[in-house]
Amino acid sequence: MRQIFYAKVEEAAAASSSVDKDRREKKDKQPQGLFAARKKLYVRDVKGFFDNWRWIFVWLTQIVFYGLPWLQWNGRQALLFDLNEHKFYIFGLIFWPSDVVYMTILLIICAVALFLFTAVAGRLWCGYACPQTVYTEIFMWVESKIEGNRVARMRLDKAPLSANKIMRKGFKHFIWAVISLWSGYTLVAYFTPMRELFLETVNFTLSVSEVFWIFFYGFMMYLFAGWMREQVCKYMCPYARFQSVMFDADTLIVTYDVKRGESRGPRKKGVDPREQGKGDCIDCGVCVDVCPTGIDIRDGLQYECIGCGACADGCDDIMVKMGYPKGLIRYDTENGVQQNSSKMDIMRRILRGRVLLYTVVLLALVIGLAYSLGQRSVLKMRVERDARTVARVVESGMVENVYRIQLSNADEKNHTISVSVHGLNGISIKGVDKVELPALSTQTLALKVQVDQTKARTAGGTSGTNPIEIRLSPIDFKDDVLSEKTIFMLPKQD
Amino acid sequence: MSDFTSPFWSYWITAIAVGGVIFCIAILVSQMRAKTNKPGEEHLQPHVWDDTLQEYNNPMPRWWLFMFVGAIIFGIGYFVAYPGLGNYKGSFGWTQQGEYEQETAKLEAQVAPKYNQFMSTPIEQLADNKEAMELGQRLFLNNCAQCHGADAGGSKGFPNLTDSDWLYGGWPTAIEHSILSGRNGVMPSQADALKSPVAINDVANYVMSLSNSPHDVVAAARGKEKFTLCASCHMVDAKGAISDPTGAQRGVGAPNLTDKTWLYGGDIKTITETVTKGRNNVMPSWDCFLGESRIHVLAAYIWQLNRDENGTVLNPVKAPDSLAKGIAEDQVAWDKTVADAKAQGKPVCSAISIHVQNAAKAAADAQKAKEAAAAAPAAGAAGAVPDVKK
Repeated sequence: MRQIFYAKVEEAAAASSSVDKDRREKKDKQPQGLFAARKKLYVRDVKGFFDNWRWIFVWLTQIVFYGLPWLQWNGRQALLFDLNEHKFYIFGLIFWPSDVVYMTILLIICAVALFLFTAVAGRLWCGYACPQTVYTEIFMWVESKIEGNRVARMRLDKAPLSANKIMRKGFKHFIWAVISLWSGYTLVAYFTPMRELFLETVNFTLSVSEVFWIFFYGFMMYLFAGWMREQVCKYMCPYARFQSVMFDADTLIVTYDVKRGESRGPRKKGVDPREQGKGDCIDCGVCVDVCPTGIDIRDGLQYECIGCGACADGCDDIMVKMGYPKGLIRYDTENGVQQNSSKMDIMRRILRGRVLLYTVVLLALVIGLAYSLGQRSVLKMRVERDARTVARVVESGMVENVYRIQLSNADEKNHTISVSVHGLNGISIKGVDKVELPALSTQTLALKVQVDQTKARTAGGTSGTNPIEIRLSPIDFKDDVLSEKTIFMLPKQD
Repeated sequence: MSDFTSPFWSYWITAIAVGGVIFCIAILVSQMRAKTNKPGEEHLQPHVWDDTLQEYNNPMPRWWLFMFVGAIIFGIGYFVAYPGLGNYKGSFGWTQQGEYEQETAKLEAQVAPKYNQFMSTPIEQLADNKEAMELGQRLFLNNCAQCHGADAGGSKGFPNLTDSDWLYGGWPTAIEHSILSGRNGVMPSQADALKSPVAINDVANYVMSLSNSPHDVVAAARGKEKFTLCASCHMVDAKGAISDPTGAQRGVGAPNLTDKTWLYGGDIKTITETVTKGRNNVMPSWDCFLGESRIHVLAAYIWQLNRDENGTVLNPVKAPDSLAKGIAEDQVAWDKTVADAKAQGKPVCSAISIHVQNAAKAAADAQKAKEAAAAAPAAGAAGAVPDVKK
């Protein structure tokens, strides 16, 4: 792939003007250190098909993020991660620490989904849904509204300090800070209910950790989306480093059509470029100006490219103005560009082995998770045989074993349950066999199980271990009966 | 930490740690100024893979460099503040032990108001406190259930705590004291005193007869005479040490032999074994592990386990009057033990174990003296374990 890319670049370089070549070579031969200062990017605003999609995702993700903590459910916050109580409330579902497997499955689903989207169309996550992209988009929108467009922003930065400059810059940072702090506040509201958090705020009783996280998350957003932007994707993000592994020659990526574009150069409108020996690229530089990572897509696929499609939007504008067909920069596959494939062929090649495999795995995981959640009992039971009291013979002559039973009620209602034992002839529970379990509580029950020796032995009971089953059946609601296998000890007979 | 076998190792570790930091600084300084190409050269790296594949130098951003510098500064700060350089203790004086103690103290401070409230409540009232009883159950399951069973029903060699049969008394202060200072119940071997297997069998049969268990009537009649040997601890009527009306034997813990409750088993084989070999039972002192406020809650939990069908607690609320004088004497002996321990600079809980050992030794000595006197019941006060009033 790299080789093909280099071939393309060489081809492009050979075709491009000699002035261009000189400039590049000069740049290549400047002594360069291992570290370099960041060049501030002035990203040009762009409108278009892909940009609209990005804004749709900005709205979707942010409505979800800022909106969820305001929803109520059963008289509590609908989505709440209660770290003190060790319980996660997600609408009707309540997860206990023992349910951590669901979180594992969820993370695996996220990973497989990422593999799938990336295999189909490159860095979709990065370009449209990643918080870094989304917040950068919001922050850049604020910036351009306050400081003006790309040119105005450059001019403002170069200008000497003035009241106007202080005003604009100050106002911009103020708005950024407000957005950041509100995001930090919203984040904390996932862990401390919004209503409590609000009361704590007005009474100045916020805990140290709450204040820390509001400001930490807020500051990080301000830093990442306001100041660092493309640096986060280029140097910090782990996803970006390994997403390219999931690309292949049939992955849709934002591509510059070298064959159609080169050789590039300025021209008059209405003149057929082929007559002048030129391609369709007029070398206007819009694709570079709109790129949030500051690369030139015409050099081919680079690791910095987050697949946001801004260059495609920008170039399409120009192509329309020039009266050329759109799509000089477009979503296309490596094979598609080389073989001039039709849209249909490209679409057909999307359904290839790895994509189908990812889809099957993803569907299996999602269905499995949904089924498992549907089957989940709100009651949990753990049985532990008392290790020390092997088998005691009580005054009545019965053999008694003791079990420690931990019962959990993961429901938001109180429940009454009964416990029963099965597996030996004449086996029964001595004492308490009904338990009141308050909502969201755990109780330990010391269960005495007795059996008449002679009765048990006539029906297959033996000295030593006998398999038995302890069953839990809810009395006041319909739920599956839980059962745990354990053993009952009978003493040796002389 | 830093218990090195010789000072050399302290220097060794210090040298490695400091050398590591210096190495990092040196690398950083050299790389800060490095250029990957001379003027006029391409900044393509010299190595080539797969015939054509070469790397450009894509420089790292400068803030990355600052992160390295920051990490080094952090490292140096860490070495100053925390123990990392051999024997050096760090300016904070931090230790793992210290942190553990801090955390524990924090937790104790958190639960202190609750426990103080429980501590100031008498046990028989605490038994009706739902919260205290839930706490008591958890304490019991974590600390006591290993021996006494999750239901406190006991097992072979470990007393049942849910019935009305008590070796040292079932009133609140006695239970509390059993947990606090532990108990040591010693039944010496009677093989030498009884001399013959036949005699042992006789005594065992007599013991069986006391609780109307199946026994050989003739052997039991012979064993009745020999029972005087046992009566010094188990009392003449075999109702156990705690039934002594003088209260002299209250701390010996010899069981009642006339009921159907057996610590090791009530069949002839087990009783013969007990008489022949003796038994040595130890309930450890929990004062050092749990402290008196948790033990107070535990005692309340155990005290209320023994209930009838209507849920009324069957255990006595206070000691019988006959024991009042003895318990008062125990208190005096106990106060002296605590004072001695404090004078030696030892914690009180070690005083308890000393006290229990002394009591056990005294009991054993009394037993030896009795054997020397051979038979003839002597109502000598065996070393008594006190009932501490809280």
